[in-house]
Amino acid sequence: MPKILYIEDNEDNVYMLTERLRRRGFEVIVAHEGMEGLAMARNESPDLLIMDLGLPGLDGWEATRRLRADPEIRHLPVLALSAHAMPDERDRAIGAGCDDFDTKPVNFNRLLQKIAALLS
Amino acid sequence: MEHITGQRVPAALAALELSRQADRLVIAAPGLLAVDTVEAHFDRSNEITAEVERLLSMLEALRAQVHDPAALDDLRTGVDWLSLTVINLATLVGTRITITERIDELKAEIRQQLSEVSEQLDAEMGAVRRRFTGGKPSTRALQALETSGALERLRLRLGSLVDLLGITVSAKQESDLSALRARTEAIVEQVVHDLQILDPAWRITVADAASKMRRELAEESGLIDLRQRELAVAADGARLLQESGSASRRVTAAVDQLVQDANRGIRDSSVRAQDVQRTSTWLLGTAVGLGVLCSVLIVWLYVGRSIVGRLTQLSDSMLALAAGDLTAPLPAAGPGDEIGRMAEALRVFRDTALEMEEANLREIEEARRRLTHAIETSNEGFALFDRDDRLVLCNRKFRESLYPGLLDLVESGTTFEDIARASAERGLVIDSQEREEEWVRERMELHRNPGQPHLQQGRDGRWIRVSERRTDDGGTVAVYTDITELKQREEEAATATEAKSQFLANMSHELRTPLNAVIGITELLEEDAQRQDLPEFAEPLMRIHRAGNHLLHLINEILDLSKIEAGRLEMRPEQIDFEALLSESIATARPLAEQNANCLELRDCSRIGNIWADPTRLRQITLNLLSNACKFTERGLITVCAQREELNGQDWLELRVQDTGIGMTPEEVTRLFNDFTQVDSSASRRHGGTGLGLAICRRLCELLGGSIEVDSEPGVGSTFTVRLPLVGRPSAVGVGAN
Repeated sequence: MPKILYIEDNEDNVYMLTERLRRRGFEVIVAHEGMEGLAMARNESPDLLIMDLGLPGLDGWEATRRLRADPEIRHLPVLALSAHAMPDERDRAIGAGCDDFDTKPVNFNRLLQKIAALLS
Repeated sequence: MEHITGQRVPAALAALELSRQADRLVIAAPGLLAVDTVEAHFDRSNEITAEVERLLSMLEALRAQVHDPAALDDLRTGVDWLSLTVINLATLVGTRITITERIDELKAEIRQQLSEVSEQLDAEMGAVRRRFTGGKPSTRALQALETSGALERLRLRLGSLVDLLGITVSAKQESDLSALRARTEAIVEQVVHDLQILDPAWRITVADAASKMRRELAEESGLIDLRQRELAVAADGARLLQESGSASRRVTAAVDQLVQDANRGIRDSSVRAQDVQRTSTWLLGTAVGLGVLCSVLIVWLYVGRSIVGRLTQLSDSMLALAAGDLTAPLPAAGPGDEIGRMAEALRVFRDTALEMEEANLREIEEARRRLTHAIETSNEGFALFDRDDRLVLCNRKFRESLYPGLLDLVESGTTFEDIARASAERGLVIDSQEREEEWVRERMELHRNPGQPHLQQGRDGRWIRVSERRTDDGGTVAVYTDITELKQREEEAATATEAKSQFLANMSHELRTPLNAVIGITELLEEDAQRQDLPEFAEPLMRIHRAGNHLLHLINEILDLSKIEAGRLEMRPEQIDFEALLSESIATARPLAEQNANCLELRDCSRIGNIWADPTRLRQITLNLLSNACKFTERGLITVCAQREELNGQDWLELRVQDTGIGMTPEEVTRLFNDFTQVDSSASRRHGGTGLGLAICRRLCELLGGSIEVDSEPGVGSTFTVRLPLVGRPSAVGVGAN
């Protein structure tokens, strides 16, 4: 059963996506900020990270950069999720080291496809 | 000359006329000869006489004009001769006619007598024959026989006489007539002789007849004589005719002489006239020469000394005045003659010119002062450089406010380049810092080829707009406008726009985060309701879901618009199958069309093929037009049609969406593509939407280098036409990918 680490500060969003992913059979663990997320990535051995970019403290871009700089966890696929819809948002995310990008509100089916692609 | 033209030429002309009259007479003469009746002769004679009289009167007239007695005598002799000849000829013709008539009479008489004698002869012959046949041969019979022979001879002789008569009348020569006369005498002798044997009773009768015949034939005034005279007259006529010709020639010769004289006279007088003319010309030339000489002498001796000197003085003064020297000395007015008055007039003129010059100077000074004041008090810096690029004048604003560090240099005569270099070296222009030489070079280039205004930022942060223009005389005018405030406002506006965009972006982010939860949890609940079979929750959940999506749509559109405004909307073109894209959009819009029971049709667009464009934006435009058409049409027809067309040498994609919906008035159409506009504000309540869709479409079309337009009629429907340039896929990959 794939294990997804979802890093997100908004509780409603955490509830919504965690619930929906669990219903689809994923194991979901949640971090609410960047540092916590990086620690969980090291300790919990997730198969994939879903990273909100606009996080308080260490934001999603910086967290991803640090992840990519850490030999232990640099291999983990990261799917960036952002409420920012400006055209350069995707580039910024990829530039920071994310493997894919999607926007909020989430189109759930599309998100599932992207997850499947990253896990395969 | 007068003598020639007044006398000799008319005389010659009159003589020529006279000569022609003489010719007419000579030509008429043979006609006179041919006349053969008394009446005709009378008429012709009268005519001839009249012509002769005319000739004579012409001669008389000529006599008064011709003063050469010898020539006149010749002419008169000829004319007299001719006149005489012609008159004689006329008389002769009269004589000839008389003779001819007499001949005819005699001829008739003679024939009469011959005929009478012949009759008597015949009667006698008959009597003799009767006697001869009635008796016995006897003396009487012999006598009768002898008489008969005599009668026969007589008859023969009478026949001869008749022949002679014919010959006489047609005889041509005098000698012939003498012979005829002799023969006639002989025949008459023989006749008389023959009569001897005849009966004495009528011997006398015949003898009388014979002697009468002889008389009429041969004696004086007899037929032969008459014929002789007739021949003489004819000869006279021929001679006279010749003479008239000679006389006419003589007249002609005399006239020729006169004409030649006249010609000679003309030549002589012409020569004389030329002589006279030459003489006159020489005399005139001499007189003129003398006159001119005298005039010169008079001018030199008299006028030259007393007038020219004063005129020279005047002329010198005038030239000095004309050259602008109004203080030049003027000659004294002097005596009250013309030159004196001229000098006085010149003085008045000079005084007026002085006054006018002073007035002009005052005006110029006034104008200069006003202009200087205007320039000096202008809120803009002003500097004028001459053709050698040296400062001519500048105002206070230029000196003090704009370039306060250049006060020592800003004075007339300094070159522009010196000023520019100083301002760079002293660091007065921010752009020139640490690149003085380069900046001076650029600045000089701008200065020498002034075009659009350019901007400078001073050390104190102020922005100056520099406008330079060439003047007609090769100088340069420079106007310096302080646009610091304008620049600040521009920057503020840019900042405000940026802030607005940033705000919208943040808003979008802040709105999307809760919306993500709303939509996501709604979908979660919908799943629950379906799984737990709770249909009563289906509709409210669907409504929440739809409202959430609508809100998302609004946020997206607002964001798009702000991205376009901030210039941050980037196109990501790629190779796309347009037909597929259009079909997909139609499929998306079909449920919307069916909601209003519309029929949505795609017309042939297969010829478009693959195009190079941003699929997201193209889809956005297409979907927007389709959803509008579906929204504003009920139970109608929506047609989509796309075609490739060539315009101005370029390929264009033309997409047309036509509906049979509510349509718009022209006024509504004008507002249609503005931001936040829905034609009818109640429409947004009925139809939903932000009113931003078409504004975004318009801007997207413009960003793609194309256009959008609408043709609409209320109650009939609308047609939206989008035209986009079809550009080929560029060879360099990824235009706009960065």
